[in-house]
Amino acid sequence: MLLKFLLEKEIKQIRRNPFLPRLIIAYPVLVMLVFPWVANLEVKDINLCIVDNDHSVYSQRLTEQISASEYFCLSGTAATCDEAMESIKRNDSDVILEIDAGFEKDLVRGGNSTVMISPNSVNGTKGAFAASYLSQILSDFSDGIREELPSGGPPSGIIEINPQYRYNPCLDYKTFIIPALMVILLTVICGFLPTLNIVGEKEKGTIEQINVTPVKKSLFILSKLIPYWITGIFILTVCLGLAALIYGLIPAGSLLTVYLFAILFVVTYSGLGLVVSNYSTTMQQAMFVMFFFTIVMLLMSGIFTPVRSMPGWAQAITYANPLRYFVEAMRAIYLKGSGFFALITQFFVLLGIAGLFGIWAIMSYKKR
Amino acid sequence: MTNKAITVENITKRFGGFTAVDGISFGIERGEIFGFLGANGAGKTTVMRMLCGLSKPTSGSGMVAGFDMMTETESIKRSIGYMSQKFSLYADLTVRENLRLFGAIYGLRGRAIAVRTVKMLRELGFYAERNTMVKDLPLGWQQKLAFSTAIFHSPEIVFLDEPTGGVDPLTRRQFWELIYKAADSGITVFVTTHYMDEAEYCDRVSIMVDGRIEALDTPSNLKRQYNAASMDDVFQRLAQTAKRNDTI
Repeated sequence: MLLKFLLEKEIKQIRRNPFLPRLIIAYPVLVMLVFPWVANLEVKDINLCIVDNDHSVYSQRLTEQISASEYFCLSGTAATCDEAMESIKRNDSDVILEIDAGFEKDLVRGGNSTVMISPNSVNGTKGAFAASYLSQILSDFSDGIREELPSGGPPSGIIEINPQYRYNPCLDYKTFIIPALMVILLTVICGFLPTLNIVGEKEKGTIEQINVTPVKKSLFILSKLIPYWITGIFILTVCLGLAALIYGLIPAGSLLTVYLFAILFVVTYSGLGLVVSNYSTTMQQAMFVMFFFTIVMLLMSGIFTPVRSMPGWAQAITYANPLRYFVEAMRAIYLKGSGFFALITQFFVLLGIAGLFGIWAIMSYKKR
Repeated sequence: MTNKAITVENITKRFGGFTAVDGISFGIERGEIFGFLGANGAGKTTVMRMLCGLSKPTSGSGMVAGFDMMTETESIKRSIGYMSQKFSLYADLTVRENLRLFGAIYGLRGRAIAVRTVKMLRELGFYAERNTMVKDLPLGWQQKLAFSTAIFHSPEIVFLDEPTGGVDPLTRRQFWELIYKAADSGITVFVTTHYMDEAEYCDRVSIMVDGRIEALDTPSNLKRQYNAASMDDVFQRLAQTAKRNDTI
């Protein structure tokens, strides 16, 4: 009964905030429209510099074949390897392909020739991708030559590898990042907003007024959390809709499971927010501490980089990270169509973390 | 229930090695306006927090509104009103919404809240402002509204912690008229203040120095006892005996 009055107060205050309602609408839309394109690890438009020491018909054909690929842009040709290195230093090129003098002669005579690929590997992923794409084109090229040459020569590949990419057949990075973006949104909305709300009342002194009234502390806090839980679920719904509309991405698994995990997660993460708000006396303090935890948890969740490729000690830390379980569950439901029972571990661990934060929040409040 | 609103026996409060309140005793009658004076750091706020059930005494005993200070703080909270020196209504709610919220917190029903709200706002001459956001009201009105909210649920005792800080003399005068009216209706008023003219308005006054109550009587008796012309003189004489740093 009293909860109804308290909720009414919170919702009015949120609605009258000059900033929050806009944020709640604009934030998910912005994130879903912009970030699937921006937060993208696909490597495209690699600038290639060719050092052609042969100037033959074959070297010309190789150059054309590479330029036709969507992955490479021909940034220029250089007379010497040193000149090409200069263009890498100026950031005009990402990779050098050096064709030896006698390239055509060797090919025609012995069916064997070499080229050198030197990718700029300051960004290791990009360098590795450049080298592997380029090797792929070179191997296609040599297959083509081999068929034309009268001498024939041995077939290059005896085993033809034909990968079938499961759950994301086109290797579209957007498909991978969209469920993770939803996780990030819920983290920010349901972690920061209730924390700042509670500490804000501490700063204004209104919480002292509430403390001298008979209202139960737990009821008062609950009235602060519920609106943000609902907000979180609303935002998730907006995101699900946008993902389907714009990217045609629909969860392969059940929506019910998505919501179940989302509800559990927002409860868990707002629990962390409560703990932080109990130890903070100013908004600045609360903001900084929340930032600290949120950044650590985001980077150690597997959202951006796979947990398996982290060092052992870091992997051990991720076991305590609620984000890890939520993002695992979201991706599994979205992409693989995993059902609830396949994710039962994630569910119970999240439940456990939620319980711990809850107990901690209550205890840290009573001490103060 | 006794006819005392508050009785306190030998209350002490220590924070670590620091004794903020040092074995004080006093009693307050029902319907009395009790002025609680003292320099900054004398221990006034600590006493008030204990009486409101916000913190427990280290030792001693006391009854507030008929409930034990040590064990029945939740019942105490139900029977008192409180207005802090920091303005603490919700600035982003309207006058009516604030009353509705605090009424509900003290267990009033929606219907009763609506009736009382209209009656109270009409008496205050505030009715036209019922849908105004509290932050848009002038400070004096905000203070009057905060007081009216504190007694909205007809508590036994209302605690006022420096209620007239930063308010102009005319509004202070009006504020004290509200206090008298509340006392007439049987509400006990416990008020701290730094304005000595306000001390003269109280039925009885106590002056705290270094965690102890050094003087407690009616303003006229105190003036006679200290052979002083005004409460201001009485206060100056007692406050000068303080050994504590006044910025604690």
